[in-house]
Amino acid sequence: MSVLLDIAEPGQSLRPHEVRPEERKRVVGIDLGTTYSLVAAVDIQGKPACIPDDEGRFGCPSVVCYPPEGGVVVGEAAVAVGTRYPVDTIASVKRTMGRSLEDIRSSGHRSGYGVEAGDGGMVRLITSHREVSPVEVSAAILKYLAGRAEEALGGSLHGAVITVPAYFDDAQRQATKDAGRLAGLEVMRLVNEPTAAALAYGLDQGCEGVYAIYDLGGGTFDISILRLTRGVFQVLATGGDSALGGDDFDHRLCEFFLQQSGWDHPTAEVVQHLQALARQTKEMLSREEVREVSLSRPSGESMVVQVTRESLERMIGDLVRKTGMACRRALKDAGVEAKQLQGVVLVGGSTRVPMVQKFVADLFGREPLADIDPDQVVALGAALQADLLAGHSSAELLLLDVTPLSLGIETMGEIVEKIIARNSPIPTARSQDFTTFKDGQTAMAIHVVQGERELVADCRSLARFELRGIPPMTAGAARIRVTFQVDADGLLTVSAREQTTGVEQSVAVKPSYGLSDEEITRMLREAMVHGEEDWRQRLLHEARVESERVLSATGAALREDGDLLDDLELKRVKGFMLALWEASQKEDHEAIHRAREILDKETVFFAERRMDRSVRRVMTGRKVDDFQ
Amino acid sequence: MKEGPSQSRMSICWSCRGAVPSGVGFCPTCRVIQPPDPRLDHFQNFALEPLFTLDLARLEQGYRERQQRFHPDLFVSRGATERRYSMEHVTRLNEGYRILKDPLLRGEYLLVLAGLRTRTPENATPSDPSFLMEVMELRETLEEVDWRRSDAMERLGQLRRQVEAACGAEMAEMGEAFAAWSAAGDLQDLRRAAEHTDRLRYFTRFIEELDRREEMVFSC
Repeated sequence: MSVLLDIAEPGQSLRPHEVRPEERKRVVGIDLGTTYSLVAAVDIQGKPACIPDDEGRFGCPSVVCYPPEGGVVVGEAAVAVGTRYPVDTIASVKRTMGRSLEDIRSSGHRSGYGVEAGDGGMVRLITSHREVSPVEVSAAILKYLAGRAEEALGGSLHGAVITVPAYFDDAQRQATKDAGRLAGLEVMRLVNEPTAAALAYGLDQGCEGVYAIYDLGGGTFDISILRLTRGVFQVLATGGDSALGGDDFDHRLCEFFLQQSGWDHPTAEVVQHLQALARQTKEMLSREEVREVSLSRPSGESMVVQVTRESLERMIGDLVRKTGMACRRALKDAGVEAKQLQGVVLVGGSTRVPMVQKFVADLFGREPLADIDPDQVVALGAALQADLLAGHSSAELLLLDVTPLSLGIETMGEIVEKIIARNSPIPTARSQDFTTFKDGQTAMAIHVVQGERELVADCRSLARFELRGIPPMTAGAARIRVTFQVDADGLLTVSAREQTTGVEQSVAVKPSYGLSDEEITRMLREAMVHGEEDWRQRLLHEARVESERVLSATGAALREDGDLLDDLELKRVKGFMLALWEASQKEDHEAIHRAREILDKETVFFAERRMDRSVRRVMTGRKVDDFQ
Repeated sequence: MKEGPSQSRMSICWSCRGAVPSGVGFCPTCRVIQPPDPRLDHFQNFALEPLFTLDLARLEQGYRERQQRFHPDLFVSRGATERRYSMEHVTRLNEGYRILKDPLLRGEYLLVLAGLRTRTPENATPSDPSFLMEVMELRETLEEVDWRRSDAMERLGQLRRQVEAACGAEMAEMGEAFAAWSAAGDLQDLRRAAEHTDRLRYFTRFIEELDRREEMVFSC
């Protein structure tokens, strides 16, 4: 927080909104999503905007590839190389953040890379030649986006707000924060995704009332009930499922494809291909009623399968309905009925699925709002929050958040005694008295857990500690007051105190899944040593990957439609291809980039002619699929 | 409880050593945040009359206004002491809001303030045998609802409306009894308020059970 200190020190007359342009902090909001991640910043007029890459794309695929030849590739480039190195390419890493091996196994997901148990309950992801932690993979994505923002904003960043699903537990939050630190970012705050979305809506439209935010992303589902009143955003309740999202729709469809094409033991390549195909098909079925998909069998021959929107809806119906339960519970916790809502806001790419929209409309009895791009809204809201925390904005806006999950301790019989109920506004502190159950008992074990279930085994273990030095008394005579305190950032401290002697023991709960400070320091140091070289290597690698993609695509186009060019044109195009190939053999990533741009520019006319031809082919009655 | 301003209601600003009247939160001299006054109860913190019948809109408004003055986000650039006081204020504010907003917790809290009950929650049982019969019958009706049948939701809904009406009646009685106690100080009225608070607790637990059943039905 040190970067924020010099803005509003007491006694200084400068009002926050009088911050001079040159004193503005470069702060950003980052939506670290399961499938896509975005970065946004607020401009001098106070308007948030997502920052695109060189190609004008806002969403960066949350994909990281560790090619065997070294380096780290992120985003579109990682997707491009991913098909070549499926075992070294990590997608949807958010699902593994702060999760144990059992959590991940029980979700039934397939992946090219291996997953193993690591230290402290975390998992390690195993590629063909190295091991990485989910935190490192997330840090790579954050670093990439921060780099994009630094280029756009013209300097290093002062801070970032990163969004997390409201339903993330302490371990998952801690892992996300660690990833931010590892990426060299000053994490100003973790903000819940639905809250960020509401922020984007509220500031833009100045609406007041109670709203539901229905957020179905790639890997997580969140529902939040918020009240917006004159500058105060009050979270009334949140709920959701941190392991349910659009990826699950893809997996259902992928399993269907595997079964249809008769694969019993598909290779990583096959799974990756079919997952991409499933995703594409799902997206198309949001616009079309039926799709034909070409699958290859294990024997090598191919087959065509028809998928209708209706059949997709049958495959995913139970998943969509599952979100309804969390919505009901959130409304109940908020003490609000559906008809009292002012509106329902849709967030997340998966809300584009027509079945989801219809389900939400039926559940809440109204058509949901989707004015802001559901893919961008979270990043935009995060940027607004970063701007507020940096003290730029004159808008007096306050976020009142809640604890997403109940916090409690283990009591006799492995039963959880809840001390702070879910959806309690934070900061909060609650105490409860406990006693000894044996005569002469001088110590008491305190096991802190998080979750809604009754049994300790069904909840997440956060910390264990022991209160010693209880004077020997008969069973039930000692009075031990256990106090839970959650601060405004959602971090928990637990203390236990024997009332007659005043013996006290307390612990700041560090979730057992997080990284230790030493680990972070070590990783940061390593990253620093290799930092500049890594960066250059990465740019070079990305440029090469991209040039390879362009070359092979152009080559394929020439083979197919080369007859559209006359000799001179063909020679020119081949010349530019050669120039790009030559550049890609050298170490200068900028030169590769330039050569690629020239090739792109010089083949525009060719692309147009190909387009005309394929339109004519369609007009003569052939199906589009025949061209794929 | 109805104490006028006196010397004991003043404290000294930790920052400028000026005099600070109790409950204002900020030093009138140097404008620096003060620690919350532990002598104030939740009603006093919200500047509300210690009555069961309460204007919820005023509570909500008071809650928001106080958050806008004390919330930790407004103190991120201040020193550690100010940040701690901000957090203590808001922690207390949130606790008061939680208790006052909820009719059952509000009733229980009033009984504590009046000195009739202790802070440790106890499961006081209503003494009226006909009430116990009523609750047992409700339980039986609940057990009879077969959650696998298609009319389960509707039957649970009927039961809910019935119990919610009963809650409403108890709350009306509580409002009347607490008001009478506050006006005349007759212990009889306070005991009556406690009796109805205990009944409300039974009905509230019953509704929580209904919630669980409904979730079960909904998830099938």
